[in-house]
Amino acid sequence: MEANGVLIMDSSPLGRAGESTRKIMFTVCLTLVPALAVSVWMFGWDAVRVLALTAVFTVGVEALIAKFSNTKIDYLDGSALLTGILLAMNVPSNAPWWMLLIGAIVAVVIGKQVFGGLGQNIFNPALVARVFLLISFPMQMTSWPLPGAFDGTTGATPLGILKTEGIGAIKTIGVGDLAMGHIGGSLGEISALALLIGSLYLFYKKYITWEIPVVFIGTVFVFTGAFYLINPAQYASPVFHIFTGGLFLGALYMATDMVTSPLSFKGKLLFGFGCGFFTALIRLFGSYPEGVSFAILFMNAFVPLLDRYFPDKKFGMVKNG
Amino acid sequence: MLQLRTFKRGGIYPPHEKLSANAKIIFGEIPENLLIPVNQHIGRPLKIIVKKGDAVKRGDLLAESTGFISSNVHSPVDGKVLKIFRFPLLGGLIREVIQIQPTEPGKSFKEVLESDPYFEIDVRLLTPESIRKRIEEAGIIGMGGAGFPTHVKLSPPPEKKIDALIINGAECEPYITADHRVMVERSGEIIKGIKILQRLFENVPVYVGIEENKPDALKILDEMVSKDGDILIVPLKAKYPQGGEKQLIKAVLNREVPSKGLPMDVGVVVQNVATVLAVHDAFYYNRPLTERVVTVSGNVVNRPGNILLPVGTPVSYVVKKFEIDAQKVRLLIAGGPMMGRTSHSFESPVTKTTSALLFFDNRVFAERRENPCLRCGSCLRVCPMGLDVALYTQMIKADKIAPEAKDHIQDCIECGSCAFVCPADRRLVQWMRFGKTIIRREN
Repeated sequence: MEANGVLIMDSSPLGRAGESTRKIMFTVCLTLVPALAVSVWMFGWDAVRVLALTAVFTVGVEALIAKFSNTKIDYLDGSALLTGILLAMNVPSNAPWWMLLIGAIVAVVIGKQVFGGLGQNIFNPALVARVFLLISFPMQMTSWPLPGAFDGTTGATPLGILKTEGIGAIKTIGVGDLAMGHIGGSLGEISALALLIGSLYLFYKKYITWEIPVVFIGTVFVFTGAFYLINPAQYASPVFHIFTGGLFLGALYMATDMVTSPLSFKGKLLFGFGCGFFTALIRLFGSYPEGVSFAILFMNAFVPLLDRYFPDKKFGMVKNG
Repeated sequence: MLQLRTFKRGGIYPPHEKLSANAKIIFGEIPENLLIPVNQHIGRPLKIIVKKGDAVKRGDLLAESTGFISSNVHSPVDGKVLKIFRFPLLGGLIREVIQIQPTEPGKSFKEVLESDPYFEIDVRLLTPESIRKRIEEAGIIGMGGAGFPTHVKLSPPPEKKIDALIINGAECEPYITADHRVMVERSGEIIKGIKILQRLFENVPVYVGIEENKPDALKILDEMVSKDGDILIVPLKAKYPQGGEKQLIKAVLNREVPSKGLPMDVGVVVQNVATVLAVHDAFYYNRPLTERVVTVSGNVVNRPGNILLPVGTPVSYVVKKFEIDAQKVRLLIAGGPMMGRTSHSFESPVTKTTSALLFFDNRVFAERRENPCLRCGSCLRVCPMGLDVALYTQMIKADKIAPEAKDHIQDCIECGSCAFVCPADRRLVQWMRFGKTIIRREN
């Protein structure tokens, strides 16, 4: 008796839960839809333009690399698309197309592929591109179209106003405005609430865990709160700080990037703390109004060390008997 | 209902697929040809004591142990030694087998079993030495899959005080129901087997760990032991790999076997239910271990079931008996889908450790390609040993294993939970096995 054809020889386990890289990447992309919807509502077709261009550019650049690479690169696995969406959320809605193209090239080539591609990069590709653009094109990257201002008026972000004009200038901005997106900023900066809603599904699927976002945001709250308590006349309230800028985007979607965040529980706590600490430090005392990107990139560099020196306790690490 | 016990660290919930849970154990016939693998255990290889042309009786020794950690192999039937040669076993390794031509092929195996004389024995008169000796003679090995000689496991050094005996009825692998059916249909014999093992360790309390997805087994055994104060049936939450020794001990007694240690280090001896049944048969029927219950299931099996088979039965017998369309089979697994081994020949024989034969077409298990690790951390989350699988496998691949990782890599129980959840389809278990080999070679 013989089987019709050859029986498959394989190594255990033979079953699979059915997760895949594509599934994870496209799920993360989908959870960004609420935040993207808010930005389109606020900035209109400009937001759609930026989003479409960065997505096409990042996937296009990766496809080009895949074509000339010796290793097989699945440029449609959703990771390049996610980088594109995250990059779009980090730039102003009036960003010119060439700037977006440069950003896409930096993100995919310098941020990811030079390290060996997906899973090998040390720094978050979208953030590498954002910081590159911020340093290279400070003018374009800091004049933000105001939401609903279709006449083309631009302004600074609340954090920018705070940095340049002081505490008095932000008194009129309410917490509701911050949470809902009635403020100036990049596509992804403007609605903390929409980001939070989208990310709930990621928590549910365990694609992200609570440690990094909670500790990150908590640390920013505690540090800025301490200074606010010491001198409310000079420092903005911690509530203002956690709802402004890219903190929610950074804490929920950038710092939790699987590839560039630690694996262990303690590592995640320390990583979240570091991100929060440096964000607060830059916002309070640095020359840039916003510090989320710098803080995350800085902490990205520590991930291999955190993984190695703060591993989780293993089963059986008990005294004999 | 009271809180179900389970192990805390990691674990997964694969679909149970216990298709044959209600199928009574059936008996087949003596096959026309038996291929009895010489070495079915972990330990020293055996010495073959028969030669071509020898006539053998049911229960006769075919190959004998060559040391303490070794285990005899007997003939399940009357017959003639046709040939001794090398043949692919389940799992694909080519090893020595003894081919037996039965005297009465086609005879009901039930009749064979019923003609074994029954001995009423008084357990109280058995001494620990005589029990260990009989188990050793009978060639009993761990039937849960590992195949470690049972008499060795039952002989801890005197400085290891044993204060708990755990009977493993977890059967956490998908599809397999052999232990389940044994617990339901031969519960009385299992209890009698436990009583024999209890004689080895004075007044030792016994815990029978059974997952909640076998309510009939839980009920029957619980009713049976309700009079006995020293046997406790412990319902467990269904979670893989609860049948792993270290996980079962954690679940039942909340004791943690130390890294690189053995259950006896925390005062525990674990035995699988099928092994306990073999112990019973060795005493009450004077039977050496020559047959076992095998689950036959999978998506090309129309009527999944459980069958008692003599060791050495070729898979082809099962294919015919269960009317499986051989043309459809693409994947043959000996054991469960999580830890079982694939096989390429329908002529490979059943051994003492074959708990299931699963037949699938390739709809279930599509070909997979390794994708880059995303560091998603799923493997760390589900590892029941708490290992940093993603990091270790990268180290192993780069041949740069950090010194502190070596002990942990050796602690891997190869349960496959990590690879089961890996979104990048990485062959994590294979990498861990490879890592173990590298470390072993270094030492």
